Amino acid sequence: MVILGSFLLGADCSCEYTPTCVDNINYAELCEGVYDGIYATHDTGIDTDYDLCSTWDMNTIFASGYDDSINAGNVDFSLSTVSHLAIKRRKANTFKWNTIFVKKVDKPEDFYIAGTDIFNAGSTVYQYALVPILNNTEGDYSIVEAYSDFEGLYLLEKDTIYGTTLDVKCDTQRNHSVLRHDPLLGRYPRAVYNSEANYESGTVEGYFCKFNINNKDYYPEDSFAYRQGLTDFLTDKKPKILKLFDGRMWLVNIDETSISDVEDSHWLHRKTSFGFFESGDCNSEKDLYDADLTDINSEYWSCEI
Amino acid sequence: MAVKPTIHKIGTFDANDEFAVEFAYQGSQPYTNELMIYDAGSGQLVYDRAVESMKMSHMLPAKSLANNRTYYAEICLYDVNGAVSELSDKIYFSCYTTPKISILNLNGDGSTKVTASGYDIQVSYSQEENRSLKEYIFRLYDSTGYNLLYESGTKYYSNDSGSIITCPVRGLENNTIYYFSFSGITVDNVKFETPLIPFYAEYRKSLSYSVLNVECDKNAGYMKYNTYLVIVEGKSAGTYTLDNGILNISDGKVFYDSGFNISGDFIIGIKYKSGTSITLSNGTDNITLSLGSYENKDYYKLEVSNSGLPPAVIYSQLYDKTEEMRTVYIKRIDGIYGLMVAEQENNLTVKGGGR
Repeated sequence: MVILGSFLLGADCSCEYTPTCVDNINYAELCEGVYDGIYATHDTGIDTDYDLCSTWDMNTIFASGYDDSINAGNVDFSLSTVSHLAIKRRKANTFKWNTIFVKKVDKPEDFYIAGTDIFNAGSTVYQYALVPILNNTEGDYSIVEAYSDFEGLYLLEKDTIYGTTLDVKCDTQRNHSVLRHDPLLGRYPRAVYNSEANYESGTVEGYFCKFNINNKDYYPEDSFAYRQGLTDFLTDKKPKILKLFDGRMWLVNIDETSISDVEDSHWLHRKTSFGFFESGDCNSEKDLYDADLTDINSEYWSCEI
Repeated sequence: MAVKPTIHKIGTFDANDEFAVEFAYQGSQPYTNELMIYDAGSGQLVYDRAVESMKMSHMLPAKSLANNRTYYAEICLYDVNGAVSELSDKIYFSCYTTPKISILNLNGDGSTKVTASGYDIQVSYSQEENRSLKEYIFRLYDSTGYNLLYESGTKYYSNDSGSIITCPVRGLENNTIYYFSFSGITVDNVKFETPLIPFYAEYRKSLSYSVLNVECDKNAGYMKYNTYLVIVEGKSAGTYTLDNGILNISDGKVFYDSGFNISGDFIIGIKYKSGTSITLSNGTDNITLSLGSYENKDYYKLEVSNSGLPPAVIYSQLYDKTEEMRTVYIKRIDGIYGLMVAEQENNLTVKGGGR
C-alpha cells in the first residue's frame, strides 16, 4: 500500500515486535548454571562470536571472566574491600614509588578522583599507579605511563605556582664541603671533609609575565602586581620546588638577599632574578612532607621511614 | 731474630670452622710459626701448635676452640736456624656460632609466586648463643640479579623486634622476576649475607587500561589525573563456586544491583551452559533469558516485559543438546531486541538466532 508516496510496512523493522522500553536497568541476576563470562556494552557493533569480548572501554557497562571473583567492574575491588585509594608516581624504569595522593573511600562517589601532580620534572616519562588500600595493605597497582613535558620554569609550593617561559636562565653549582689543608713539610695539601654537605645552589632569571592559561595571552601591563606577588612568594621563608623544562628539579629555599627585579630592554620588560640553594631531596616523601609541600602521612609513604 | 711479630686483628668467628690467623713480621724470613691461644677468662692454654710455613698466616683447624668464649692469641716465629722471635702482643677475640638466617616465605629455588604488588618477606634470625643482630639491610634486584632496584637502607635491630624480621617490598610489577637478598651484622661484627633468592610476581591485572588517566598540562606545567572506575560488585544468595574461571551457581543466584544503569542501546553477551534463567531488571520491567527444551533440543527464549502490556517474546532456533557452552547475546537497538547464539563447533563459531 502506498500512502502519500511512502510504502506502508516498507521499512526494515516495520514488521518487528513492538518496541519496548525497559530503561534504567540497574539489576542483573544469574540463576543456577555454569557461566564462563558476562559482558555488557553500549557498543552494539561488537563481534558476537563464541569468545566473549573482554576489552574495557568507555562503552563497557560491566564484564567479568569469573577468574578470581564474581565482581564485574573494571577493577576487582569494591567498597567492602577498599578503605583508601592512593595515586603513586615514579620515573619510568625506576622502582621507588612516591605517594602523591590518598583519599578515604566511604561511598561509591569516592572512587572518582581528579587532581593535579605539581611535583613533576620536565622531559620525563612517569608511571602513575592507582592503588587500592585496605587497612594499610596495598592491593594491585593499575599503572599508566605519561610524559611530562612543559616549557620554562616553575617555582611552587603546595597551593601556589609561579612560572615563566620567557628569558629563562638557571645556573647552578654543586657545593661540597672540603677544606684544603697545607702541610708544614709536605708538598701536597690534604683534603679535610668536616661535613657531609653536598647540595646544589644557583641563580634563576626570567621575565615573569602574567599569563592566561586558557587563551594563552600575556599581559605585560598587568604584570607588576603579579611580580609583586612573586616577590612576596619568594620571601615567605618556606621551602619550594623549583623545576625546569629540561628535567632539573630541586627542593629549595630562596636566598632572599639576592632577589632583584630590573628593567631590561623596555620598561615593561623586567627580569626577576633570585638565588636558591637545595634544602632537601625533591624525590623524598619525607623531605616534601617536612617542607609542608605534601600532606601525605608517613603511613602511606612508599619508601622506608 | 729479635723483632716482634704482630697478629692482625681477629674478628669474631665460628669455632666450628677453620680460621686463618694472619700476622705481619719485619724480621728475617720465618720458617715456622707457633700460635698459642689462651682462654681469656682462666688464662689456660687451649691451643699451641707450631706449623712449618713461610706464609704469614696460621690456619686454625675447625673445632680447635669452643664457641661462646673469649680468647687471646700470641705468636712467635722461628727462622731457618731455629732462632725464635719475640712473642707478639696479645690479641683478644671471641668465638660465636654463625647466625642462622632463613627466609620463611620465599623458596630458595625461585618457585615462590607473589600474587600481589606488595609482599612482606619474613626473615628469621637466630644465633645459638643468643647474640643479637645489630643491623641489617635488604635489597631487591631486577630479573638479571645485577641491577639494584631497591635498598632498604641500614635498619637497626632491637631485641623487641623478635626473631622474625619483616622486609616489606612494594611496587612489584606483574609477570616479573625479582631477586631478594638480606645481609646483616651481629653485635660481634659477624657479617653475613643470604644468596640472591628469586621470586616471581604475578597477579591479575585490571581489565581496563583506563582506570587512571594522566596527561600533562603543558601550559600549566603540571600533570592532571582522574580515575575511571566501574565498581560492579557481585553478590550472591545461595551457593556458588569459582574454579579456573568458571562460575558454577549450584543453588540460588548471583546478582549485581549497583554500579551500572543501562538505558538505550546495548548488547549483553553471556557464555554459559545449563543456566536456567538470566534476568535484567529496572525494578518494574524485566528482560529474561531462559533455556528451554523441545523435542530433546535446546532453545533460548527472550522475554521482555513492558509495563502491563503483553511481553515481547523471541525464540532462538533449536540446538542439539550439548555439554559445551554457548554464548548468547541479547541486543537492543532503538527498543528492538535481537537474540543471537554462538556455539563452538570444530573451533568455528556458528551463529544463529532471531529477532
